[in-house]
Amino acid sequence: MPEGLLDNVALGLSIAFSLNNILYCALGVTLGTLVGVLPGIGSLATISMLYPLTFHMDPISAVVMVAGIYYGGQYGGSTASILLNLPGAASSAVTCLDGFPMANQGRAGVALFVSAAASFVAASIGILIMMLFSPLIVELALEFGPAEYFSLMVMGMVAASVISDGSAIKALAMVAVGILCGLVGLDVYTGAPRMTFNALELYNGISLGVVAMGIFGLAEVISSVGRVRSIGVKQKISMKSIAPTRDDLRRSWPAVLRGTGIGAFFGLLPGAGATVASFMAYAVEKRVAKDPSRFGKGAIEGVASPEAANNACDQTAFIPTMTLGIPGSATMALIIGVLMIHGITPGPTIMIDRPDLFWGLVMSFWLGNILLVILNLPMIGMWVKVLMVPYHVLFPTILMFVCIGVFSINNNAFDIYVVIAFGAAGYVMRLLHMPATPFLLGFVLGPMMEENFRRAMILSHGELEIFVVRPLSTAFLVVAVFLIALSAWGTYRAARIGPASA
Amino acid sequence: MRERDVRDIIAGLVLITTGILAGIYVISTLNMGTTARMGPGMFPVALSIVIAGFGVAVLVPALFRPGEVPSVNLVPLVAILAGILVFGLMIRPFGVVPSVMALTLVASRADPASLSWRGATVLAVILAAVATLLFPIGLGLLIPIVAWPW
Repeated sequence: MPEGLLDNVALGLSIAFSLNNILYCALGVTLGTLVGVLPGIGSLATISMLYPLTFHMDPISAVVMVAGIYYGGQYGGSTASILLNLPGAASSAVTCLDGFPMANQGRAGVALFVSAAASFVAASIGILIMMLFSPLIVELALEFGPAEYFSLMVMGMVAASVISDGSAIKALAMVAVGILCGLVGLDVYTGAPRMTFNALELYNGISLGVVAMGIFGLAEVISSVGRVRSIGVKQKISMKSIAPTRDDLRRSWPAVLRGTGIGAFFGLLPGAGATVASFMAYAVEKRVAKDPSRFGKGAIEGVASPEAANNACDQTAFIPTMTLGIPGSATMALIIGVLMIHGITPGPTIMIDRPDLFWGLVMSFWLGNILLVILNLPMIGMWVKVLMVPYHVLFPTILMFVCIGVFSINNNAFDIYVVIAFGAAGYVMRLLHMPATPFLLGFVLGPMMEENFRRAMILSHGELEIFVVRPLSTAFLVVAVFLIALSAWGTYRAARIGPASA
Repeated sequence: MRERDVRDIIAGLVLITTGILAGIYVISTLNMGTTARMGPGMFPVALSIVIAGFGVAVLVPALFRPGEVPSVNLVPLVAILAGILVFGLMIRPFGVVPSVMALTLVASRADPASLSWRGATVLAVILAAVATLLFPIGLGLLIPIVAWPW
């Protein structure tokens, strides 16, 4: 295998470093940093908006760019957290806890440096894990039949629902609603139009880009308008002020490694995501610290570890996405969507059929992360200025991109009415604390899930036993049941302690 | 009146309604089939039942506990969706420039405190220019820049 790995690396490098892909990678990470820095618009909303444009691009370039936005957002997100106490992305929220106090002590530069360095180290380790583990997972996955796929998807969705914050029941319900919406369109087996209300435009199903833009993009804008205000940044960040002391470094590096481990693990789990990983890393750091009272008052470990965790998680999240075709997060679902538009179905065969795509993408991660360090350290002053763009200028611009983006998918105004419906639905979901990520996961995985279920049923002549007779399928379902039991027990315990737990 | 968790009561009702309506619609339009040869309707009906069931599970406990009432950002909600609707109605007959300007002007009412009519007009002109340069010209999308249907 090692020789094969070297060949693959060489192939990947030749593709990632073609002029075109370097440009798209740079564009992606720059955009990602930009929207990561800006509160009120995240990488997910940005990718939804650019989604229609990827139809016109080469698939490798499209994925390289979209992935760049994704991990670039992570670097940018910490900037707003540290300087403004306002997380640019949910996964950077925990960085506020110690990053902002550091900024108040005049150590913003150090916090930014440590955050960028931690991100880079963690991302590098994450990429290495991806390079080494993906081939192994693929070998395992080639043995999967429809029953295994179905059970694995059930496990992934249950994991996503249970681990996310908030009510697990609501999350599971949203998965089901998502699957239902995903099934709209012609039935693959019989050609019968399903849930289309006789609208011809719905025969091909609802476009993922439209759904994502409505639920994430529009809902985000509606709830941010009038509430997000830009705040000036008082501190000047000079190159000199970013140099950490020896003590900072001594404290940071073990924290970075712990954070990386936690993040890499959560990335591999379908459904957990960078936000959970960063909170977990912070909690662990507080527990292992000799003096936990320093946390919340500018402890450097509190910046280093979560930032490492969310970046490691972002990289390893590509493993289940690319090798199994099962996205762990809403963004990963969009990346699968980008590939499927070009007729490429992510799954175990992708590394065999399209090694150029897989290894080109992995190698572009190296390039992207190096670019991000350059973008985020020497050029930090520029991003600080970006923070001053007022939201009332930003939101009409976002709407313009949403509208034209949606229209251009099919050159059809019908999609615009669909986006309005999903925007309104997304906003109501927010108000009712019904999480949108499980919905999108269900939407993307739903059709695959049903197809595998029906195939398994045909193979077993209608016996549900097939899902528990095959050992791997059973294992996945047992994990799913265990996760549900765990969450039910947690809810029960919380209810007994009292409703005070808000 | 006792305090109740209004948010989850509404959430539960929404889920139950969704499940029931979807279930009825699917049963009346699609064939169920048998488990060995599933028809197009079986999976959606199963989902509808699951959704309604989760709805009950969200609703019932919420009846017996206090909670907060969600506050609606009503003006932005209406202004933004109306702006997009106007865009959708105008884009085919009139093209990019008028539609983007109309979108910006209507949607700007979401935040009238920061965007006066004058400010919104300036922004509308800028955005129309950006959209034109970027989409039909830069990316070659087949959308008319300005059109007149009559």
